[in-house]
Amino acid sequence: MSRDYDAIVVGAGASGNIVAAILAEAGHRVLLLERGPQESYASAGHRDHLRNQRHSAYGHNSGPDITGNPRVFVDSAGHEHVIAPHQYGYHNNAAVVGGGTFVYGGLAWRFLPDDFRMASRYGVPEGSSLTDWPFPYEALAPYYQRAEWEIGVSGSGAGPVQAGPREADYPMPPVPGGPTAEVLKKGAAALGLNTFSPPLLVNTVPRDGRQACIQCGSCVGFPCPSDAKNGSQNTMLARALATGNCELITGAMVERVETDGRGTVTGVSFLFRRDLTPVRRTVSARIVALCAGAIETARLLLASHSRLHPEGLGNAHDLVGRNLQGHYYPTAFGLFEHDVYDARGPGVTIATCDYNHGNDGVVGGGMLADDFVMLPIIFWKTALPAGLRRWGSEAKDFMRANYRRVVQVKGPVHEIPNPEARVTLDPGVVDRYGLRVARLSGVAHAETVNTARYMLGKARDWLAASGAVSVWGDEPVSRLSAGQHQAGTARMGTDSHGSVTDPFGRVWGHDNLFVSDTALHPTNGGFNPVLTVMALAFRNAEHMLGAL
Amino acid sequence: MDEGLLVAIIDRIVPADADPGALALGTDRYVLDWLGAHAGDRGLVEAGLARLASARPGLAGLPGAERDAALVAIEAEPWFARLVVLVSEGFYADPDNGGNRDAGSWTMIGYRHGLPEGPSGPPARGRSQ
Repeated sequence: MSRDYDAIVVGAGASGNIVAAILAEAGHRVLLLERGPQESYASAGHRDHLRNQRHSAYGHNSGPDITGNPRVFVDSAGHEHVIAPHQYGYHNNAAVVGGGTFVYGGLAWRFLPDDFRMASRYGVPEGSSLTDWPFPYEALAPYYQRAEWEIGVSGSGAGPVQAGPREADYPMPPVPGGPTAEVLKKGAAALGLNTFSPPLLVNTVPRDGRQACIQCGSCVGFPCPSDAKNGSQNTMLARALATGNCELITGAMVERVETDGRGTVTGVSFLFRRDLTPVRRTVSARIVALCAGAIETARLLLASHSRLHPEGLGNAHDLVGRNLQGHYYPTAFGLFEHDVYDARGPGVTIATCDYNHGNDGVVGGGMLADDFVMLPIIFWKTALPAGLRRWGSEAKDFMRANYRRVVQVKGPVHEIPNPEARVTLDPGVVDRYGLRVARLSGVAHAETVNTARYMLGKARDWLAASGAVSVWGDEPVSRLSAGQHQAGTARMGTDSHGSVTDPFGRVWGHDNLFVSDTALHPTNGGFNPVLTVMALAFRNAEHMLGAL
Repeated sequence: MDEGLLVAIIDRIVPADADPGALALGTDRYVLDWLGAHAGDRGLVEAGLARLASARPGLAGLPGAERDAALVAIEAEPWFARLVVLVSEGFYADPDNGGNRDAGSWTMIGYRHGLPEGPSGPPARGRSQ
């Protein structure tokens, strides 16, 4: 049968641009659909400290638009809120070509071997849906290496002592240390912690025709002034478009995956605006790959219901949208008697993986590191100790005396998934195109909160051992967790009854429908997940070639 | 709205000392503009100011320490907490937002932007996003 394209890829983010490149370079005709616009530093690099992807008090710098894109958030007390993308509970990701990779900090972690077998190592806590990945670290290792080299990571191959084997070092040297790393090294030595320079998807030297990082002080949340951040848009998308086989359409909101009378996937329908009027277009392809992020990919599978699939595609066992997870981020602040601040970014200089596993009374754990340079207003909102008056001389004196004397240690908790934390289609609320929006409900499993509490203690201990004269941080509370690290809503597995896709992201029961994004993650690691998303995209795309 | 009282309060939310306070960096103008454009915040602050003005007539003309004491007494009220956030956002955000003239607050605390185009980076497209 004649098709408009060989493959349609939904979402030009961390994974979609990789899938598009691999397929297009193999000679296939690819349509890449992105709901957001294409942007650059010149068009979207304005440093509005109140409207960006790191601090979205009143909006974002890379979407979605705060009007016309609502979601419904059900809070932990069961109250419903119709919210805009910059408001609490939306769990937003950037809507732009490159997705989050256009504005991210770019921490580039490989998960540890034990992250792939959480259930085997720890057992399954009551009320959780904890499970192993359907393959071990070793199966993903070659694709981690491709991501590190083809997209570009700086780091030290020595890395964490807990890491799985690697065939090659990183292609670029790590980011330089600084005063924060020096201080935290002292505490690490006192505690016997192993530390190292965190890997980043940032050029520390010129590479592939783009500059090195110029160490500005506003990295995460913003496009890069020297184009030194290696997103998917300035690496893999460039490769995809260079083939001449990939057509990118921006401003395209996919309405549904189309199936025929026998339930076979035939293409997608999408909506876009022509002179402000919504227009629908239906396109056909031999395969469809959903790379829209854990919330939107799940929403799209659910929205693609038909007579043969009344509950949505891949949802015969009521798993699509469930197990929504992300990362609790326990954060401790320590005040020192001398300046520990380095104005030069990116700012992440030291990490430990000694608490990712093997913690007494804890299921898993997480990585701990210092953080990106904090914008002053973010410092005012998040770093002031409890009990300090937020106004008057007290607040001003604290900001002046201590902005340069506070170190934060924080890290993502390996969450314990729970089927009640989920994405569904809201029955009533629709977006600007009239499409039913995502409804987010549930709370994280108690073991996740337990790990977060434990990790906060370890972060505090590290700061205290490093010489902090006072240490503080907010205790974790029970809530839904998803955010930019949203994951788990179309988990892959080896059993078609216990998972949504096979171990390569192919949706069970649909030979030509694939998912490749964080939705696949059975668990989300105790790390920023983007390098894992990228590695999976390389692996899954290779597999998709077999279906074309 | 009692703008005189509002400015006298903003003056105490980030007071002047060896370094500029909110009024010297234009944060009062930033907040007035904000309230002009955001009816919800304006209503909240307007009502709070009215209550404070009737409970404490002449407050705006008192010395700083006496204004502080009056504000401590009402600091838990939502309108005041919201005003503190608005003032702090203006004062510590990028200068293009209008409340941090010449990035004065950043100089005070030691934040350096490191951007080739200046503290707010490349020009804004407008604030519709």
